[in-house]
Amino acid sequence: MTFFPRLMVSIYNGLLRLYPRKFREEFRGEMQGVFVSAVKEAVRTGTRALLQLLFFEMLDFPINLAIEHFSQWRKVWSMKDIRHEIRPFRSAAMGALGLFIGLLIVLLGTKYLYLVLPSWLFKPDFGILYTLRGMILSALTYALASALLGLMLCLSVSASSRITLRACFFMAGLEVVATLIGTAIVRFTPYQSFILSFDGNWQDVTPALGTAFLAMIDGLFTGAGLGLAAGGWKFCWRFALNGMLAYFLGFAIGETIYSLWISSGWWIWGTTYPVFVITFCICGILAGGILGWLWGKERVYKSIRVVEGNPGSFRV
Amino acid sequence: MKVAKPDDFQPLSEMTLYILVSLAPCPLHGYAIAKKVRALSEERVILSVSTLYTILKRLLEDGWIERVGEDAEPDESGHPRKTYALTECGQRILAAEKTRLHSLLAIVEKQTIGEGI
Repeated sequence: MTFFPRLMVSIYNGLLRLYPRKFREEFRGEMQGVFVSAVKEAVRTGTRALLQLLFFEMLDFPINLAIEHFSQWRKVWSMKDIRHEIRPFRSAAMGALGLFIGLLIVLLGTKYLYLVLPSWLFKPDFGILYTLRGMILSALTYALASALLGLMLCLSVSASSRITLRACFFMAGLEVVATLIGTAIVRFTPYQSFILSFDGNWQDVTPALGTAFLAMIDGLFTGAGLGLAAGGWKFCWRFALNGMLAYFLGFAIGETIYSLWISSGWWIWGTTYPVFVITFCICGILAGGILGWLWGKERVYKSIRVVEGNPGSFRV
Repeated sequence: MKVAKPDDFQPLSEMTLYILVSLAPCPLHGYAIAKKVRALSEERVILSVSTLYTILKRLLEDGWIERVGEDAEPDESGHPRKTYALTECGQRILAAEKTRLHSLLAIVEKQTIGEGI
């Protein structure tokens, strides 16, 4: 083959890498062979045949590529072949670190999101319109924050487990939806005001408790989403309860330390929220981990078994 | 649960029909299928490699065709040539499509007799 047909074959071989892994494993070799045969025959026939081949392939390739990717995603969403394996606890350290960094970035990032939004969005103007806009913005901002948090959470979980990439994105998607719903409810201003006025007395005694109770609803949805994705409906409520308790403890301790930090008088401007976030992250992860270990060990992971031929890994 | 019948898959797309027809007499490998489809359709249907394998994958998943082995002679890139054949299900679907096309043709002929069409 001359230079141009050889170049065509090389480019085509490269393009085949864009197919989903499963499809590649099954058909890539055959497709390469068929393409080489087609190119050789076109070379023998003439330039017109070669250009025709190139035209048809380039026209069809992106469409078929999209069809295959769509078909893979459809399989993920239909949950037909989601398999997940959980590594031993000691192997989860990297995942925990990833989660910690993710939480820091997302929480800090979204906290200061309003600084980069146009200021006219927040300027008081016409009474009820301003209130409505504030409510919607508030709900959307916190929902976005939690959705990102959910995404980070699931991607971090995937780092500490042998969850397939498709299952990981499925989990992330579920988590995002679950947290969006949960947070939109919790952060929606009228509901929040109702809760805050209801527990106004508590705040005089323990300011952290009100927020911690609110956070429980975040935790409920977060846990439910994760449980649903990781183990199906069977584990949904257990993860939900664990999430609720972890969020409660995380927020309660985090908010308390935050209050103490402010009242200590020696805090530096700009450090209060990071202190809260770090405390929340550490307490939430510790609380969730301990709770999960205490009662999840016996109940949730009862059906975990060692995967044959793959020592050190487990499958739910 | 509803059990699918061959009629449920009709009408077949032109490319799918050509692939099934090309495999009806004997098993073929990918490149031979593409060439035969081109010949059967008198150069009208030209299957690109990506389209051919997208359809073959679907037909394999649906159980209409199956892999029956490998050619002794490897292809131009050195990979073994896998051959495909119609399954019993594929044969039933092809037969149902043939019946449908026959009846369609009969209707067309009946309606156009004496019309000079």
